Amino acid sequence: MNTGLFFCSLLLIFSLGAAMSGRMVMAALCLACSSVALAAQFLALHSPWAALAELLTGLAFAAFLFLCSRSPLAAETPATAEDEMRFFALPFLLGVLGLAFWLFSEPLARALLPAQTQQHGSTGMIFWLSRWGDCAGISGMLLAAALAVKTIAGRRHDA
Amino acid sequence: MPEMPVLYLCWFFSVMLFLCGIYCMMLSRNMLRIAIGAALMFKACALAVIACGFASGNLAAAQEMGVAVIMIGVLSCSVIVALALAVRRVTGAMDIRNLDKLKD
Repeated sequence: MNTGLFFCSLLLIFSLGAAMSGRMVMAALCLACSSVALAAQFLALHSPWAALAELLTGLAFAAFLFLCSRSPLAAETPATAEDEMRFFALPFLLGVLGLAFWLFSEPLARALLPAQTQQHGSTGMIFWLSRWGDCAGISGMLLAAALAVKTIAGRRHDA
Repeated sequence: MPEMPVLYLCWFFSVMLFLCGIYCMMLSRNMLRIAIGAALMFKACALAVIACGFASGNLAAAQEMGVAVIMIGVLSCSVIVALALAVRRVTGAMDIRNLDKLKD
């Protein structure tokens, strides 16, 4: 459990780095690191062949991206008004999704678990499922808030 | 049932990884960045498949499906990168809006 949490956290951190990095070279390096973390997680889940496939293909793809991104023509182009609308839509949608997860995690857990399981004293399982839902919802809302702040700060910087 | 927390842990991180991929694909017009977003989404799918197999005890089938997801993901992302290179050769930039100029 702790090993899985460690590798999954590494995977998420490197993936966030790949998604949000301003420079394409850094994004390719973060993608390679996330491939290594995902392969380690597969090994922790007793799936060595999947780990090998992820390691080989992930590193090869990251190397390919790294070579492609070294050209100055791969630089970002400035955003238009249409892109700005998408910038604002994503934090809003993410926030609503997080709020829904947070509010409805317990009824959802009760609905998803079979009735027979619930009768045999699965209060602990429902409790932990609800807490996972809470964590997912609150994380989604925090991510939405961070995206909103980043968007507003970026607009002020452009102005 | 000791595997259940691992399953939900992996599901949670799969969802977060998938959202990262959507974020990366939505917020950029650079085709290389779109390929990175697609790669992240395929990673999330592979993690979810393997975690489900681990929790249900059917790890061999899940591993086969996971390897298939990884291979399909890499092939798809490579096609996107190849298209990006073709767009750059024709238009001089990797902008997704120039994709239709490949027809000319």
